[in-house]
Amino acid sequence: MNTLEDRIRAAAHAAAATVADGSAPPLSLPQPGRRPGLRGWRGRPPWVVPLAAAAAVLVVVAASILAARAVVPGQTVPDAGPPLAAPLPLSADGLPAYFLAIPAGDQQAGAQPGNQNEGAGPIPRRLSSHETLRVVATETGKTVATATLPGYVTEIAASRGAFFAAVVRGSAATFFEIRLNGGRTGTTVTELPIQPDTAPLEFMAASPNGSKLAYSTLVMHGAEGDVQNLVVASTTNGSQREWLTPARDAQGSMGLMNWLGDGRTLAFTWTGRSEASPSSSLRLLDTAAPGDDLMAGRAVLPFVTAAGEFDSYTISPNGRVVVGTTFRPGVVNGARVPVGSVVAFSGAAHTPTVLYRPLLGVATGWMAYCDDLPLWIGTSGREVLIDCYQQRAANGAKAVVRVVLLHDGQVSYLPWLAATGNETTAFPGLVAIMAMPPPYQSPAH
Amino acid sequence: MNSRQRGSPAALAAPLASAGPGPAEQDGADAEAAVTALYQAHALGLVRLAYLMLGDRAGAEDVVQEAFSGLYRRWDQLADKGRALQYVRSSVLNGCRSALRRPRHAGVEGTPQPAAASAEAAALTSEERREVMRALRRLPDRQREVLVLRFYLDEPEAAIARAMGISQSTVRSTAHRALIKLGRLLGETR
Repeated sequence: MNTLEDRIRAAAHAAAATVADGSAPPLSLPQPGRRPGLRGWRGRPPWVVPLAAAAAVLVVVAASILAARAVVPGQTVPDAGPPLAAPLPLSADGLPAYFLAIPAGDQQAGAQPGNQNEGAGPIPRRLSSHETLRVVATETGKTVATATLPGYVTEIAASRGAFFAAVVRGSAATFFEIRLNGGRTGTTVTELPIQPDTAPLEFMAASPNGSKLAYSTLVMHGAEGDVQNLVVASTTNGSQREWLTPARDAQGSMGLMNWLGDGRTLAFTWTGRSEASPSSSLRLLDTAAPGDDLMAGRAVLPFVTAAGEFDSYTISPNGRVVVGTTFRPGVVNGARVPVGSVVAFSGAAHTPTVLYRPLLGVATGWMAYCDDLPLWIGTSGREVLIDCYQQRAANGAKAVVRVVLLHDGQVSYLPWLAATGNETTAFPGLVAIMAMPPPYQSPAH
Repeated sequence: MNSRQRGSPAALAAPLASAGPGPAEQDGADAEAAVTALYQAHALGLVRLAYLMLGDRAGAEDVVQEAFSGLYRRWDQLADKGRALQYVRSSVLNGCRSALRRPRHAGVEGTPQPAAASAEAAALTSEERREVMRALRRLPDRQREVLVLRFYLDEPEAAIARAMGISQSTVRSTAHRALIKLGRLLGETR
């Protein structure tokens, strides 16, 4: 047994086996007259019907693709029309002209510093000695240039003018900047003067002007296990600051992060003991303020809201719009918000607006939902680029990925970006979303 | 934790001696028989599943009992009786999530466990098992749930998504993050 999955499987089966055969207590059903279950058999409220078992699951999508049409809050989007053609419907925010992508075939599972030859999945016995990333033109989806990094690329990020990569070589991660040359046909790769980090790291984000990189690290904390710390490093001189997780929050964890446009406020999601814990929320940290307490900032929006439940958020660079995708349904303006809906919370009151609902159509057995997090969000939050999926639920076939632009109440499909659906990408202003390595994609059944 | 009332096994509703059961009574008897049969076939596995989620045997039994009670109450409303097992499994997972949101009354690791009841359990050293389960319980609830469904029940991604009421992409990303975190908790730095 030498994989993490084997250890989990064995431990789980062994723990479960401590519940001996024949030891389940007898069934005790409610007495007649207490149906139809206004109260449970011990006086508790009845359980909510599980979403998956509801007889009328209508999460359906038309087989055709989305098109630009108005999305009226509180109403579902009708069947799609023809795809939107270039040019892109850009507002003043403007989609970034280029983004960075790790091609799917070059990815390996979860290698981290100090974990040189093994990852979280089926173990690659050797890390790649180099990886080639591609710089993609957003308007066409075509590769305009490539960048070869001298090791396994574990994280990527982007600022307005440059891309960044954390590269694992030996037992440490080192940091590189990638810039397009003037002709936009090649790249210059430069190692940054940031001290190599031997701790496992994740969730890297570049400040808007590229002067800083933020990333989280996992540090063993003795008997308490690991905690996550935050590091912000200068890309110009390598100076660093570190923020530590307080002991009282040791069971929580940081999630994805992004910088606000001021270049000093860092937004990150924090999950406490569970997504429903009071501390689970989007948080803002002023990285220019003194101190090293990771939780010194403020919570902005909890995961559990009336509009639905979320497990992660992104905030627009102007700090005024928070975007998330529901993993449990909610209600906005009296209308149901199904699972997989993209919701924007605006202003100080966090007023919710549904940017996208999974399509409902005539055919049944289809699922449609959007990814947990956007690929990119515009400065004012008026534009959101996100992967959305269509899947026939019954046979478990791999979902079809659509890259969708939500803008000013409209939904546009960008088919020329579909190939990025299985890649890790970094758009300026947002940390990269890790694509899942092949071992975790279940076969069709 | 609420005190539990252990009742006698549910008896099948006996037909009236003289007139025989009316439609309502027959329906009730059918529901009771079906739910009871389902319980007898699957309760042990579901208690084990809940135990992995909660780390608490009594709490696991509570959750499973309530799930089957809920199935019994809603039996007439089930559009597809053939999916009753999936329904009750989802109820168990829902029940575990609710239980985890309540203050814990028993320390997971401090609860004495019964002796290993199978060769499989004995084959794994107790310390290895405790280490992995301790790490598993340090994960956020949803991450733990995905890993339990994936590696204990060997459920495919689509089934996990349905059981948890989340998207398959969320299953994938959650499993990915959970494995990375678990690996680090276990100090996998070979």
